Amino acid sequence: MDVYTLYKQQLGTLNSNQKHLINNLTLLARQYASTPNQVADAVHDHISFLKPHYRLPVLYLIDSVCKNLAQFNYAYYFRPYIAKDWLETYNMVDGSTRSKLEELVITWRNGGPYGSNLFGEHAQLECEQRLYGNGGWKATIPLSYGPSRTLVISELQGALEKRRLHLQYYPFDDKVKSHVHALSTLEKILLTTSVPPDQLNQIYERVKSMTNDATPLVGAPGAAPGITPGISSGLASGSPPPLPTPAIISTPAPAPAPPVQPAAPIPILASQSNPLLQSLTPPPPSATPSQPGSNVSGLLQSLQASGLLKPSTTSINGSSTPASLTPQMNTTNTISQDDDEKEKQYDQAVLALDIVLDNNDILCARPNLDKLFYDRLTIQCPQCSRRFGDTKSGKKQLGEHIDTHFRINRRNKEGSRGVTRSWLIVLRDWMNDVADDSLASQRGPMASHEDSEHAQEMEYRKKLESSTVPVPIDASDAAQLCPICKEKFKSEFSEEDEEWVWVNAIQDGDVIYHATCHNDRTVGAVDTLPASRSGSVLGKRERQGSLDDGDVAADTKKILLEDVVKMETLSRGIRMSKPFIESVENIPTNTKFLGLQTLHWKDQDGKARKWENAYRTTRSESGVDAVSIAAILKYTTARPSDIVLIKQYRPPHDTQVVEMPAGLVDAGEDIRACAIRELYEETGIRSDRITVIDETPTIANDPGMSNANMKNVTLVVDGVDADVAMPEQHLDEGEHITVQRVPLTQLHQKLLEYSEQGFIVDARLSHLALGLHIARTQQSVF
Amino acid sequence: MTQRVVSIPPLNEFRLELDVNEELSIRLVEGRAELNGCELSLEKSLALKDELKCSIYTWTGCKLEITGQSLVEYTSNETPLITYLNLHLAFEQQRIKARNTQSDFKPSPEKPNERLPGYVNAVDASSSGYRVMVIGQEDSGKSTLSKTLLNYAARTGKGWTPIFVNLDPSDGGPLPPGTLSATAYSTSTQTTSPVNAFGSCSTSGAALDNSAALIPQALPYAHASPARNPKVYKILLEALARRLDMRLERDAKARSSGVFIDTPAAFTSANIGSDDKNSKYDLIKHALHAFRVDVLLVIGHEKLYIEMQRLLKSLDANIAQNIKILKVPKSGGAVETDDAYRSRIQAAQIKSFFYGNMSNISDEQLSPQSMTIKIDNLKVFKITEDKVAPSSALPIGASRVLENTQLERVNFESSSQLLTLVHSLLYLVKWPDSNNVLNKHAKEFEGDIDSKDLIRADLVGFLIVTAIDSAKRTITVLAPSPGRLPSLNAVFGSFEWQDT
Repeated sequence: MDVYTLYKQQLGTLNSNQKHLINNLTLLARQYASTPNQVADAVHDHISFLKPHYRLPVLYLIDSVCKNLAQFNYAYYFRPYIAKDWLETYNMVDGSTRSKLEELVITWRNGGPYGSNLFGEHAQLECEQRLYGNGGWKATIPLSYGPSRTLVISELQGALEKRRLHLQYYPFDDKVKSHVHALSTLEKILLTTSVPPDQLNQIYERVKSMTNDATPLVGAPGAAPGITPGISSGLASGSPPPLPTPAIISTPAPAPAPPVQPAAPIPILASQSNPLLQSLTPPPPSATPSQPGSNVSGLLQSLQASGLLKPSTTSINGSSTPASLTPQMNTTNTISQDDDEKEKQYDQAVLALDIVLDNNDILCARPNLDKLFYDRLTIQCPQCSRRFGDTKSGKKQLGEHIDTHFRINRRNKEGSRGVTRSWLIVLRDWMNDVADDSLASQRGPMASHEDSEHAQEMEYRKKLESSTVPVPIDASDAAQLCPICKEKFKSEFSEEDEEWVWVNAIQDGDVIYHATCHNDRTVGAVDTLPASRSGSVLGKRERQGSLDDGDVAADTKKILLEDVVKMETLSRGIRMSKPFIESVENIPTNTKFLGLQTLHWKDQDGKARKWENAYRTTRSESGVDAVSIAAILKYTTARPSDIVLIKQYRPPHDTQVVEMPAGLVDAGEDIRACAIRELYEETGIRSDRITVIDETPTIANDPGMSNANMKNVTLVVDGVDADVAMPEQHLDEGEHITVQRVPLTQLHQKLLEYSEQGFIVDARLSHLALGLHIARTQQSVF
Repeated sequence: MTQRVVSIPPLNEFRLELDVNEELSIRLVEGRAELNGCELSLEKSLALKDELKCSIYTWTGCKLEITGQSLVEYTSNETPLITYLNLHLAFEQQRIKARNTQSDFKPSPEKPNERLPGYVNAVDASSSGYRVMVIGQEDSGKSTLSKTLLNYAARTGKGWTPIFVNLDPSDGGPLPPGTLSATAYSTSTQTTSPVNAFGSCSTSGAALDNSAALIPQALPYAHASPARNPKVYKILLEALARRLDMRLERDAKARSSGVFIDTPAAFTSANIGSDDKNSKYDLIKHALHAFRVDVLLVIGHEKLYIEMQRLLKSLDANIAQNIKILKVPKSGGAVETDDAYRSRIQAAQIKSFFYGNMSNISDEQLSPQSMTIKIDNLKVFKITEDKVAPSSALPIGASRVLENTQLERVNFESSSQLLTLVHSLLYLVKWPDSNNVLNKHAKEFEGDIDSKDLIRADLVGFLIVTAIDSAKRTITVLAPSPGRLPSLNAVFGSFEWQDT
C-alpha cells in the first residue's frame, strides 16, 4: 500500500472535531512528509465524499498540517484544492459552522511563511470572494450587514500578527512599531468594551485598508535572498517555493541591520509617529478598559491624520491581479521554432474569429473556416484519415503512427488469438490517467496501480536486502543477532569494499538490524510489506509489525512509531473485523501427498500478513483428512478393558511412535466405516459387536503448521475373548505396525514407560491419557 | 452488388440509411469529406453496417464510390454543419484561452503526460474549456452533435483530450448499456456502426489509436431509462460529475479541452425526476449544476428552448450567470427509430464489448472467457429504490451533497429465483479497500453500516450469465478476460443478452 491509501484509511478516524484526532493525523502527515502530494490528494479525495458535518474537522486537519508542518511545505500541495474544498463546505453547512469556517479562512491570510497567505493569494481571494463579494478581502465595498465583532477582531489580530512578524526581522522599523502599538490598543478596546456597529464598521474598513497597505510592506524587504513569500510567485511557479526555515520565526533573525530600503525613510516616519505614540501611550494597559467606546472614533481619526491609515478608498490596481489571469501566448522552446510559429498562427487565427455564442451568430456561414482543419495539418496518413503537421514533431508523430499501422496489420495477418477486453480501471487510476494517443498503441492491459505497487514493493525489498554493514571486528559483537527477529546475520565477502560484510543489514545507532526487519518495524506498523526472506522455516510466523519485543533505537522514528501505535490502538478500539485469507499462493513442490502454500491474509486490524503452511493433497470431499480410533476392548472375563495402541516407525521423528490407530479417509467414505476399516487393517480387529460411542466434530491437527484435520471415533468392541491372541493385521504395503493392548486404567503410566524406553508418544494419545489420569487422580480440580 | 459513384457538391451532405443486415462500403475517390466530424481517407473503403444512419458531409465537394445496398440514400443541402463548425470554433477559442491561462501547461513532446504540480483549481473557469451539454428529444441528433464536436476537437492537432460524458444509459457509448460514463478522447473516432460510434474500450492487444483503446470511468445504473429510477439516476449523475472533477483537477490537458455531455431523451420530459409538479425539468437542472455546464445546446425544439430560458431563474445564481443556452437546428437527416432498433443496438453493444466488433478489420476479435462460480460466492446486488432519501428535501444547487445509494444483496434462496439471473448482464463493482477496518468505520459514521454504497463503487467490468445449475447452485458466466475476477460483487438490472 502506498501513502495515499494509508493516509486515506487513517482519515476514516477523523469522525469528530477532536483535537487528539487531528493531532494524530498531523503527526502521521509528518511521517509521510516525503510524499506530501499523496497526503494532500488523499485528504482532498476524502473530503470530496464527506457529508457536510464531517468536513469541518478535515479542514481543521488541513489547517493543522499546513501550519504545523510548514517546513515540509504542505500548504503548497493543498493549494490547488483548498479553495474548492473550503467553498463547497461553506456552501453546504449551517450558520455556526460557517462562522468557524470564516475564522479559519482569516487565519490563512498570514498563516504562510513571513505572514504571507497560507495557500497563496489566488486561493485566498477565491475563498474570501465568497465572504465579501467580488474583489475579496481587498475590496472596499462595505458589507451590507456590517461585520461581526469577531470578524473585526480576527481581522485586526491578523494585521497585528503580520506586523509583529515583520518586526522580528526588522526590529528597527519604527513605522511598523507604531502600527503595532496602535493596533494592539485598538484590540484592547475592542476586546474589553462594546463598540457600536457603525464604529465597528469604521474600524473594520480602516483595518482592512491598512492590511492592504501593508501587504507590500512585508513582501518588499525581500528578506533573505531566495526566500520569497509565495504571494505572487508561488502560484504560478512550477516548482515548490524554497522551504522557509522555521528557525527564523522563533529566534529573531540575525538582524540584517537597519532596513536599507529607500522606500522607508526612517527619520520622517519616526517623527511622524512619535506624537501619535505620545497620545496613545500615556494610558497604560490597566487604564485602557476604562476608555469609553466613543474614544474609538477619535483614535481612528488620529491614526488617519497621522498618515498611518489611509482613507478607506484605497483601491487595488491591475498589478495585484494574479498573473495567471492575463492571457498570454505561452510557448515553449521544446518544440522547434517552426512548429511554434505555426501553432501560434493557428491560435491567433482562431482567437481572431468574431464568433459569438448566440442563436443567430452560430447560424452565420463564414467561408473558408474549414481550412483551419486542413491548412496547418497538410500530411495525411495514407492508411487512415489522421492528419499531421508538416513540421518536425508532426513528421515524428506520423512515423510512429505508421509504425503502429504496420504492427497491427502484421498481427491481423498472423491472426490474433487470445486478445481480450480489459477490465476497467478504478477511479484512483482513472483520475491520474492521461489520454494520449501515442500510448494507445503500446498500452497493453490496463495495469492497475496495485500491480505496479507490488512491483515497486519488491524492488524496494531487493534494495533493502542488498544493503550491507561491515562485520564488527569485536568477536562478541560479531556474534550478535538481529534484535528484531533474533536470527543471525549472513556474512559475505564484498569485493567492492574488500571486507566481510553482513548482507541485508542496517545500522541504526549502535544496533545492527536486518534491513528488512528494521523496515518492517518502522514502516510495517501501518503498512506491512510481505517479508519474503529465503530460508524461513515451515510454519514460521513472519514477524511483521510486532512491536512488543526488542528495543528500538531511541530516535525520531521511535517517536513516530509510538504515534502510529496510538493510531492503531485507536482503530483497534473502534472495531475489529474478521480476519480472512485474501489469496493463496501455491509454492511449487514435486511432492505427491503434501503441498506447501503461502497464505496472504488480513488480521483483525486489517493488516496484511503471511503464513506458510503445509496441506494434504489427498483431502477428500468430506473435508476431513483423517480419522483416529480410540478402540476399547471389553473382555468376556473380568479382565479390565484395554485400549488398542500401535507402534510404528515414523520417519520425521526417526523413531517408533506410539499412537492410536488412524488412517486417511477415502473419498466418499463414511467416517465411522472408515474407523472400523482402519482398525481392521492396522490391528486386525474385526467384530460384529462394535459400537461407536463417540465421534468428534472435525478437529484441527497441529493448526500452526498445516490445515490438516481429523475426527476421533471412540468405539467399544464387546465380548473379546481374553485368551485369544491378537488377530493378524491386514497392512498396506510398506506398513510395519506393532499392536499393543494397554489397560485403560494404566494408560498414563504405560505411556511414560514407553517414553523412557525411547519411544515418542503421539500428542493426541498423550492428551487422552492425561485426561484419564487427571480425571482419576485429581478429582479435587473439578 | 451495385456500385455507383455520387458527386456531392460543396457544403452538402449525402445521407444514408441502412436496413437490418445491410452492409455498405463507401470510398472517397475525390475531394474531402467527413463523417460525423471525422475525416474520410482517400481511396480507402469504409464498411458501414448495423443499420447505421449517417450523413457524409463535404466542405469542398467530393466524389464517393458506394458499393452495396441501402434503404435510403440522397444528397441534401440543408445541413446544420455550418452551425456545428461555428460552435466548434467558439469552443476552440475557449480551449486556446484556457490553455494559455494555464501558465504551467507546457506540452513537451518528451513527456506529454507529466503531471504538473501547482495546477489551477478545477472550479476556475478561466483555465477550463467549455462544458457543453446537448439536450433534445428522441432521435433529434444529440449523439451526432456531441460526436461531431468531439471529433472536431480531437482532430485539430492541438493535442486536446476532450472528455465525453454519456448520460444516456440506453446507449452505453463506448461501454455496454446501463452505464453512465466519462471518457477522454485524444483522436477522432470513425463511425462505421451505431454500436461503437463512440469507439471501444482498451483491450489486451495493441490499438491503432485512442478511439480503440478508450479508458472510461463509469457507474452502473443498470436500466435503460432515467425514468425508471430517477432518484438513483440523479445520484449517480452527481457522483460521475464528482469523479470527473477529480480527473480534471489533475489533468490540465483535459481541463482545457472541455467536456461534451450527451443526454438521454428523457431529459426533455418535464416531469421526470421530481414529485413536485412545479419543479420541471429536474434532470436537466441536476445535470447543469452537477457538471457546472457552460453551454447548453437545445436541438431543434422551440418550446424546449423557451422552457430552458425560464428554467434559468430556478438555477443557482452562479450557474445561471454563466450559462449560455443556444438553439441548434435539427438536421433533416435525423431518422426516427423504434424500441426494437434500440434493443438490437443494445444487444450488439453488449456483444461487442465481449467479442469485439466482428466485421471491422481494424478492431480486434476478442476471446472472452467462460467460468463457473458458486452463486453464494458472488454477491449479487440490486439497487434499492425505496431507501433513497428524497433529494427534493434539499434546495436545488444549494448543496451538492452526495446521497448514498443503497445496494441490497439478493440471495437467490430458491432455484426459481436463481433462474431469473440467466442471460443477465452483471455489472462488476469493486469498493476501494473494502476490507479495511477504518474504511468500514468511516462508512459507519456516514450512516451506512451494513449495505454497500454504490457511489463509492468502481465499475470494473461486466459479466454475462450464460447458464445456471440450480442444483449445484453455480452459475456460468462470460467474462471479458481470463484469470481471477477483479471483484466478486455484481449489480444486476434489466439488461440481458444471449447469443443468437
